[in-house]
Amino acid sequence: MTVVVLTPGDTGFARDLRAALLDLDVDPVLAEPRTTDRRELRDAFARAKGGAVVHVCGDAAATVPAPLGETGPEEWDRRGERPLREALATFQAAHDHFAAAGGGRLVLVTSTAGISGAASVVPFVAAAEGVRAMAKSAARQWGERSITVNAVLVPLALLAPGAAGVTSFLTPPALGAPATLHDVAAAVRWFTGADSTGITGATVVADGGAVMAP
Amino acid sequence: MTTAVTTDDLAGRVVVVTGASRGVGRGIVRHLARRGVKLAVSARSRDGLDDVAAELTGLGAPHVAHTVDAADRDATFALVGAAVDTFGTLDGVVANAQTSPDPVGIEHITEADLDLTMAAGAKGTLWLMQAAFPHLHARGQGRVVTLGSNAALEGVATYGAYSAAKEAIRALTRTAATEWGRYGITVNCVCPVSVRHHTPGLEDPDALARFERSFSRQPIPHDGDLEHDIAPVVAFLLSDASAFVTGQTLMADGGRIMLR
Amino acid sequence: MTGDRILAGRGVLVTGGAAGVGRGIALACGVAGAHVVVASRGDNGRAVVDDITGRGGDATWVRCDVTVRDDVTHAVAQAVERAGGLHAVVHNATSNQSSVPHRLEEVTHELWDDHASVSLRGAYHCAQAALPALRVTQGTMIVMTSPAGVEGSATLPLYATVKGALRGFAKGLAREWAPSGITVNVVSPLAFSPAMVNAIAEDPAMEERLNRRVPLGRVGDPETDVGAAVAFLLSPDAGYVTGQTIGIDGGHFMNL
Repeated sequence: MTVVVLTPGDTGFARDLRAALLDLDVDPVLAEPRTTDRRELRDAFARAKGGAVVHVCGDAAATVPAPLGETGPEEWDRRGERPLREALATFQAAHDHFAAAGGGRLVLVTSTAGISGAASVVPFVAAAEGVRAMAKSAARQWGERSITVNAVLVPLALLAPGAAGVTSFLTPPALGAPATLHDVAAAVRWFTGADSTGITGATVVADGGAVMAP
Repeated sequence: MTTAVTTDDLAGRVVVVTGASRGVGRGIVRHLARRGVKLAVSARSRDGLDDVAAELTGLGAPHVAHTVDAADRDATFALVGAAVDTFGTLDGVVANAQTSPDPVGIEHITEADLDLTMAAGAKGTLWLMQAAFPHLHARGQGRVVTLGSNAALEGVATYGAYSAAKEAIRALTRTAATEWGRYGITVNCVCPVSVRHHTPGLEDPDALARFERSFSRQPIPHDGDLEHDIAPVVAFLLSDASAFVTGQTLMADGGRIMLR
Repeated sequence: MTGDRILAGRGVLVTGGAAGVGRGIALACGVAGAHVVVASRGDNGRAVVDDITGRGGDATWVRCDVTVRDDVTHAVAQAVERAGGLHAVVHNATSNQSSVPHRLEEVTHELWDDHASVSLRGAYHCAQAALPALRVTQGTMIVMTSPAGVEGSATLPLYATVKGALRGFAKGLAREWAPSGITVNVVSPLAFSPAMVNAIAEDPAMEERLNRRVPLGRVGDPETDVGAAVAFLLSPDAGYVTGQTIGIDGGHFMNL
């Protein structure tokens, strides 16, 4: 059973994802407290003996709806740049831990809002697409070390219920209902399991079929 | 040092446009005519063709007009041949012709439906590309513009046969761009949103209101205007300014789809 | 609408306008009739202004470090004053380190901040500073990306990250600014930049390799190939195009 470390571990989404993963016979561990300290993260991964790290990019604080014109520098940083710094630290720590362990699975979870765009959460949308490009780059550089890096994209409403309205322009999901935590957990689990060891740099959209992007 | 953007370089150019009698094709032809382009236009029906030819005459635009079923390879080659015979050269082609069956779900699409869309759209585009190629190749430059659809990109329900042809066209666009770049020929696709012309019943105020509301979710919340919104993008892809743009799909859709 | 001066009477601000693609865009916009504000950190932007005015065009140089909010505000004010209005912002500036290969596990936060501050924070500064003026003119903004931003990079992960982020930034902003009549798009160019020229000087075979992989058989000229197409995108004729990523790259990257 793969030990999956969820970071950051201090959000409702992380706790809900943890519960959903437990239902799927995964052993999920929350990495707390939230930090951008690479060594702390690496140690947390090592202590948990994590075979997989799932990094979630996007939370309520990053997605407070506001026009860019009214977004001050601190807010820009919190919503746009800090998520990228957190991702970088997590990716680097995961690399350190996995390199020592001879390999590992890194999964990024963020929102489809990065692909579709969304008004009022521009800093976050930038971060979501930026972290996806970071993940693809990591996949290219770390594949030789048996580290896979893939992304699961979810509706913004799952990451940040308060910001759900900003993606109301999307076509309704083809499956008639948006993705649930169970659906997301299943996709995440797949990227940590034996069946996907040959997959890296990929993005799976787990949203019930609203955004059908390449 | 050469100037980057010259006097309207489209004036005097020779461009073939298929499916020119209505809708997007008609809008493209009108716009190009006003910019001094010499046109070879086609339509399936005689009446439609006569109508657009009359307009071009009224605009003082040099043109030849043929009835052509886009799926007809020989007729397509004859159209392009007529353009070259009449105007002495060829600068570009716009493969706009497309037919579409009534919308039905995937499980109801007949072979005839798919044959219809693929023949006019995918084959029609391929035949026009092939007919143009020797002339553009000989000159060491040329422009090919194809037409795609956001319905295909989004997988809009009930347009399966139409969408299959449109994505086939985009694949041909990229392949031709890859192969013909070495000859100085660019090949690009435009996906326009301009549907007013084939939406019936808009004289009814309620229907019109519903129609206009249907654009409310896209960033630029109105149907594309052929003259201002759609045709200029096609014209760009025919002009010198796009000489280094190839294999691209340009969405002239008010930001409706931002997949690319 | 037509003719050579498709940007006549328009104010265009180009960051990173002193060299490479930025310079090419500035020159092309000048030829197209715009009053170009060439924003650069160093004095070398003045030479671009001289090139534009030497050809009979209008241009102003402004010292601008896009990481400094006040510099950008000042550049926008210059555009409004000198050009009578700001119709377009092209945020082209990138970090000096953009083409220095690096490993994601080795990068320092300083290197990250270097990339982020110029590309991302710079975009934020440009957008905020320009919004009031762009509302008046119902103008447009363009940011620059790269195939790295779409498919990641095996050699430049931080560059890929900011280039990917800029696509998201532009799509979000396109949706947010559409009600104000402002369009926002992304361009992915392949053209000679100082970095590329240096790289080719060190490895001449690279140019040949690149030429073979580009369907149009060459790396683009920043002015006549990239600038000319960008001028169209900045013109009213492109007013129904928003939130899009467009390659001006000789067909190098068609994966979209």
